[in-house]
Amino acid sequence: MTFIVHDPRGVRVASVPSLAARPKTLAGMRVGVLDNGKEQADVLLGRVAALLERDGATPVFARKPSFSRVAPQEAIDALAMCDMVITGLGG
Amino acid sequence: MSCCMRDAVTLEALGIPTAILVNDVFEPIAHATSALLALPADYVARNVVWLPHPTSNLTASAAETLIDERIESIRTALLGRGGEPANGLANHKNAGDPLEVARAVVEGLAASLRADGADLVLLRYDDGALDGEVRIGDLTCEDGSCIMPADALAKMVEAMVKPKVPSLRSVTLRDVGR
Repeated sequence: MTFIVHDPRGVRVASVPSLAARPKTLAGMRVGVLDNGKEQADVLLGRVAALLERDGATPVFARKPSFSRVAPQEAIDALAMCDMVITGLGG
Repeated sequence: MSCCMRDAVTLEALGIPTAILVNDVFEPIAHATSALLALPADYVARNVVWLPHPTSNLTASAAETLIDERIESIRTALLGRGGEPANGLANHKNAGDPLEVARAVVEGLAASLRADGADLVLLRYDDGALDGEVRIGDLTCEDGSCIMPADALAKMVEAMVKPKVPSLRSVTLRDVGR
């Protein structure tokens, strides 16, 4: 009698998320600024926004209710209208 | 930190380039999250801009100076130029006692948790099963008040340790008080 033994471990396949294409310039771009609410995040990101504004970008601000959660859908929806986003503060 | 990165990946998937400001004490978590989310190997190097920890005690003037010094890196992250692939945890040698290897691999992650008042302690490795504790004091994850629930942290630890300990089959972490 012949037994066929199957390997039960299977194969783990993970798809690599695609990253967005980068623009060539900041001028004329809407830059989303996603503040996660950590202490000083508003100050640090505010400075980023001010400097990027000098490059011709227009900041669009959003704030998360909690840094320990992902952004709520309404924040993502608001930022989805931007050309690029900077988020923080991971710290 | 990991939530910032998850938000960034969500936005990238919508076609929106996203850069992340992160305090450098969380670098191990950034690399672990990147591995967990199967992000490109150079994702952290290209999209994360590091700030020296801590930033919470900076004066407004010092905070602005800090950003001024990094604005070119932020522009680069948003416009997608430069960034060498990060070495990070990939340099760790795959040798020796599995428990000690696992402890060494997650030490940076544990240090990041200690910065937030918690700790990660790996206790035993037995026949592919890695067990440990997330020491979070009086907090519990049941109300979502902790930064990272033990089950999510266990997945992160597995993603970090598995490449160094191929015999690893499972990671179990329990929330405990100090």
